[in-house]
Amino acid sequence: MQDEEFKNILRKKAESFEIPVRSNAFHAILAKRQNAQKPNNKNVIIFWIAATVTVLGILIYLSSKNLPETIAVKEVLKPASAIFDPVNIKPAESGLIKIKTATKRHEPKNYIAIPHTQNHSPMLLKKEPDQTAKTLNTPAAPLPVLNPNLKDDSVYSENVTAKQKDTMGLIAKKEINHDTIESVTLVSEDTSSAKETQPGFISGSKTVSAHYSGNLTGDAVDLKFSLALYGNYLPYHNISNAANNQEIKNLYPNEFDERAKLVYLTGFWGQLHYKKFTFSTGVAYSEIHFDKIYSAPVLDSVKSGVIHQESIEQNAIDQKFIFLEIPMLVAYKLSDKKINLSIQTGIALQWMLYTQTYIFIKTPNEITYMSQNEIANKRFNKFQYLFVGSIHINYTPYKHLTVFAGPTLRANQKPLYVNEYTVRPAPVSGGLETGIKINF
Amino acid sequence: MVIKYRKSGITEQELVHRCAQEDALAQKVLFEKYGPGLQGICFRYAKNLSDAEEIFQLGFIKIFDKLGNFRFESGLKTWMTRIMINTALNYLKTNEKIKWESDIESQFENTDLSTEQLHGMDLKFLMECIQKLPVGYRLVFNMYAIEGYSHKEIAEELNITEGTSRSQYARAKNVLEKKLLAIGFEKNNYAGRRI
Repeated sequence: MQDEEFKNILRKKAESFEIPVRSNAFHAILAKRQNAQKPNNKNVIIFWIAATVTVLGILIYLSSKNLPETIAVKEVLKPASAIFDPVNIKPAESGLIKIKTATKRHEPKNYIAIPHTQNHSPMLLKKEPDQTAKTLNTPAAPLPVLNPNLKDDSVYSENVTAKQKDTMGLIAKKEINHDTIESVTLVSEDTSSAKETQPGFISGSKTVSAHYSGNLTGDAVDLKFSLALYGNYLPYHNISNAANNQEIKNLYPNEFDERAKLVYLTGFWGQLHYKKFTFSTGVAYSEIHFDKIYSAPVLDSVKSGVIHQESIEQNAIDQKFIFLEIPMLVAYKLSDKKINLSIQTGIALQWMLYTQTYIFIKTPNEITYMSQNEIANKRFNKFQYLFVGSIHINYTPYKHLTVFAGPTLRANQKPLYVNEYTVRPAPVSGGLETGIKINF
Repeated sequence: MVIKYRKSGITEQELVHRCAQEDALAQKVLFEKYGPGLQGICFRYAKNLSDAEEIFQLGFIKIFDKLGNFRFESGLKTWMTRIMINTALNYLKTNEKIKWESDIESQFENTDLSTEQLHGMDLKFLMECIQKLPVGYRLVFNMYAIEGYSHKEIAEELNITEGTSRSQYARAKNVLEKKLLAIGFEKNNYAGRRI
């Protein structure tokens, strides 16, 4: 017999040769697969624990760090017209408030003054050099000539130092030429109790998270590792009705809102899978805005120095509360299809880090804005917890990639301010969130 | 929602996709469909059934791990067979001392076995005979005679020369032929006596 013929016969015979597989072989293979992943899992667990310890360390550090005792922050609410009483314009003691002005679109824009922070945060003030002269290159218009008769009650600010009890102080610098600056302080005394007016909230949430994968105890339970980026790209609607005053509602129609412009923080998430349930935790960054400016592009353009007269309707305040968040969620997957639905609920712990305030003042010819930072202090409920619920439509085009979107409800259980009258209700908002998850 | 598969009711492409999504039921279907044939391949390469089962399990783990990368550029069975063979080669390289004999040119073009004899040979007995070959012979014989590798490919795969591969094959074939003729004859006679 020729070699070729010999090989052909052998191949045909070998093709039909089968050895029955043991009944437990399949489960043995699954178990071995899961065991094979364990060495990697250990590394990820260590990584995750390290990340958690780091975050907890930051929290402990922040909680132990008190503001200097000289700062007894007190809120005084002032109408804008009172703040900008030209009669009380005085030279500035320090120029650390940022004021920008701009004329109408298509006309040359003039900017005055710079950095943020008001005088009720001395630590920040010290860090801020007087950069006014360096920053302003364009010939500036005179400091906004505000109409003393302006009775616009829609703009309020809050701040004050211990030494300035019952005094509303706005410090600004006016620049006329490159180095010729005439500093001014806009000071107004006000003893009225205007606490019944307060703007609304907008909140935002962004998360980058990482999860870990592997089997812990058997076929049903495994711990997965994945990286997720998600946020909400459409405004959330206020549900909590923070402003109980119709006038305020008209001024600040968009009280609670959530939006995601950027992903700020990377969190390391552990995800424990049990059948169709997924338990997850991690670290997230979130924001709550108290605001009438509901259009993120407007705010962004203002921050970048491009202010269009028509983009801001009236005077406004945008107060942003920045949180570090630890969500603890459970999700139930309705099916294992490529496109599936999941229901997610749970709680999240929030730690308020600081607040950031932008104040916009619109006059017939100019828009002026100021910004300030404030470390979260006793005025605020720094520790928050909230209930979170969402329904996600998940699309998994590849094994390691999931895109999801769906409605979400976030309900804080404590108000942001301890004693603030108009901001007493806790923020509750609903909206749409979308995201992408990379599964390892 | 539980999706129940019937072996005949799902396309190969869908089955692969489900397996890649870690659908345990689909994985079981795939396992049951191709498992026995793939274990048969392992049996030919391993020195005993226990090793064959070990290689088979290692191979299937790789198959499940890599199914997500399978793009249907070749047949599924061919792809799985290739993985199984590579697993077997790695296993044998690690766990057995392979003694490669010198490159003595051997020509065993023809065999004393007749076509009828080979056709009539009991399949399991034939495979057991292949399994009993020394490991070096066994590897080259399986790869060249049954899998269809060229001597060049075998040389690259096993890190030997082409001449060594040819020599191993010739010797393996010679040994196998003698075994088949001797034991097979006895077996057939024995079987005949029993009947």
